[in-house]
Amino acid sequence: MHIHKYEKWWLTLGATSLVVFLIIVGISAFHYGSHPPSAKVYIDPERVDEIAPFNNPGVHKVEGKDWDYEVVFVASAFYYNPPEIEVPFGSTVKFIATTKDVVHGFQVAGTNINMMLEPGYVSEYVTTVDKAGEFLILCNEYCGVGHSTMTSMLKVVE
Amino acid sequence: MSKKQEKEPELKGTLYSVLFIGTFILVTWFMAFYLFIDRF
Amino acid sequence: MTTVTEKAKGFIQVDKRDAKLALAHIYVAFIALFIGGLCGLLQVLVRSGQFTLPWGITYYQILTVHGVLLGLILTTYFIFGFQIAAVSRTAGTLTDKQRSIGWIGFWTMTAGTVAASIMVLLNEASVLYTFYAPLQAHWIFYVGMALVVVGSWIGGIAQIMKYVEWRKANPGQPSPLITFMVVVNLAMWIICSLGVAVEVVFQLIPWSLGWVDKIDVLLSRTLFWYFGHPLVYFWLLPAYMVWYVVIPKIIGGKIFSDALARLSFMLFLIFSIPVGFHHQLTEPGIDSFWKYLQVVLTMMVVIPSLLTAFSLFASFEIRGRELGAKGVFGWFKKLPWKDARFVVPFIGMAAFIPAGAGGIINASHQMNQIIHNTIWVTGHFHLTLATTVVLTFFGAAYWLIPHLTGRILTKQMNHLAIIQAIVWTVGMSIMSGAMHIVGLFGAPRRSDFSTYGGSEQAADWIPYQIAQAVGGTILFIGIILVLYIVAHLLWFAPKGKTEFPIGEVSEHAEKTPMVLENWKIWLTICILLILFAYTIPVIDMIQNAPPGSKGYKLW
Ligand SMILES: [Cu+2]
Ligand SMILES: [Cu+2]
Repeated sequence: MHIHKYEKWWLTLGATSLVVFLIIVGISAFHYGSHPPSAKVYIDPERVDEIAPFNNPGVHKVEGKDWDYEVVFVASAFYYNPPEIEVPFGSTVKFIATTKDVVHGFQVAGTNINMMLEPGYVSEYVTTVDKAGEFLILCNEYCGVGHSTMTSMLKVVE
Repeated sequence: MSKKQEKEPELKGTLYSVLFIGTFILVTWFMAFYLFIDRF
Repeated sequence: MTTVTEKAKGFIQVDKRDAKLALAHIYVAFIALFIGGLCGLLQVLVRSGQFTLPWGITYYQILTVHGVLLGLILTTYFIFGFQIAAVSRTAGTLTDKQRSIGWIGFWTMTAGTVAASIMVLLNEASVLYTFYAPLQAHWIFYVGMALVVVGSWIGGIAQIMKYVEWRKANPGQPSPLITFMVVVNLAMWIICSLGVAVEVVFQLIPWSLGWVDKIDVLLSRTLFWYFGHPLVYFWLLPAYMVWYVVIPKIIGGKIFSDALARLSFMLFLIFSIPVGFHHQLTEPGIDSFWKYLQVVLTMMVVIPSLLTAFSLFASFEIRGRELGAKGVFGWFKKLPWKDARFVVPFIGMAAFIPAGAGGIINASHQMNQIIHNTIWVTGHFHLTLATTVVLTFFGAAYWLIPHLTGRILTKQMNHLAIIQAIVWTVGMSIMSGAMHIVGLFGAPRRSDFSTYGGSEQAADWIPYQIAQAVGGTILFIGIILVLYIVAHLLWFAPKGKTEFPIGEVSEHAEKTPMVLENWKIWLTICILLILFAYTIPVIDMIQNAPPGSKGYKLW
């Protein structure tokens, strides 16, 4: 098939750009570990309250791991437990969350922390909180009539 | 395939137009990537 | 150049009986536009914080109506009306049998639409059009949705039968380009909607009837998004048909290349489906590797759009130069800027530049975390669907409806149509622009008005939500205008003949290789890619499935 010279240039440029995007996100993910939240940890959604770590939601200091704190959240219509958390500026935090009922979102506004909570699955995300301030945690997946009132607060303190 | 020696149509404007689109895509993508890197 | 009002002779006219079938679809489409658009207006008003819904109607109820009517009903019905007319125009009048099948499809879809709508109005199904198990709607809602899908298969088969008949009658010849494109779109639609059909029939219906207690949530979402991404291409491809085949004729030019047009459609067929994970990038239970693999395939689907951009500009430039344009961009001025049939879809094409750029960002693996489920996404698909696709459909309606009703688009209506598109552009720029920006701040989509417990961040979102209300109100004015034009074209416009414009292929273009119409090859690649992208992660999902979920009604 005959293709115009400029069209060849254009397709080369376009395809190269796409490959560059893929290489950048691929290296960030598979070399630097910046994966989207993709945990494969399973739980019985009806027994969340009895199972560790969800029997004790909140902030826990940990030793000997790649992160300093574990933050455990339990979501249910239309609450997050705990309703507020505080972590020190500059610490590395692992967010661990699940839902007791329907699908919820877990988004920390203005950050990259954004994951789906699905019944039966544990969602995890590790990040270093390098900005101080108060960040709204909100449900960003429709879960019912109280959806837009479902919030918590992340305080990053110096 | 036929071996036409007909000269190709003049498509400079088309080339510049698609290059504009390409630039737009590249610029917005890298802005978003910067935002991702900047946030925790 | 032909003018809109010119009464030309010798047009190929779509048969009256086929026109009736096409028009039936178009009626439903525009009724859906009105009701769905009204719900959209109410949503932006509620979200501005200045307005509450009367009579106990909930935000999520109107959100469900808006999504179902505009995302599923307006689109599917308009597409089918357009496609039936296009097949009849280029591959010949439907046989009586084909037409009857078309009607059966129409009534099946319509019965389903009515059933589902009643359940939504009764507040028995505020689960949004993405279903969201384990939220559990009334079983009639799911049956209604299943009927819509099955009806679309039946109606689609009528169109495919005509194509098969044409191929048999004309062996060794490439089929009419637009008929070919219709069949590609239907093939993609049937293959992808199998996913949602399996979800509805084997998961949602038995579960909502109480035959089974539990549902596998992740599997249901995966089946949905296996359908959900090609769904957006099902909307887009008819717009591409107009751009590739109709617009060149309207500007008085030629189709740049028949072969490249067919190639890009076949690329859409094979790369549109195995990419649903880009809607599930932040979900647990799916390995990052498989997400990334589908991200790679998603980037492949950009390539046919790059091809399309080039072909369109090329046909514009070649035409402009024929008309004596000089310089690099002189051809741009030579385009028919007073012809609504060109201007309205052209704005749609322009909107696809930011829309496409945004789409690439959305699909960029972990970068999805910036925007996932924020109102940025709503802003994004109001550029793709609600501008690119919808303006192209409006532009097509301005010749399609009068062609089918035996009327003409008057000068005044042509003028009003251009004003309508400008109103739309202004309203959408404000609304979608505000959604994109505030989405980056973290404002969520699909959410009622909320101050989020007095959060300072959420307080900063409110001015943007007011801007969305302003833009949305302007868009509703745009809907009133287009409905006025459509009503005129249906019932009041002067009688006359209007052309169904079908472009001819440029004499410079080369002969179309028949391999592009070899369905065995393309369908095989299509299915292999789907199996490649989905088999292992789905087996993993089923083998490692946690206990299922019972149903909840939380609205
Ligand atoms: Cu929610
Ligand atoms: Cu998609």
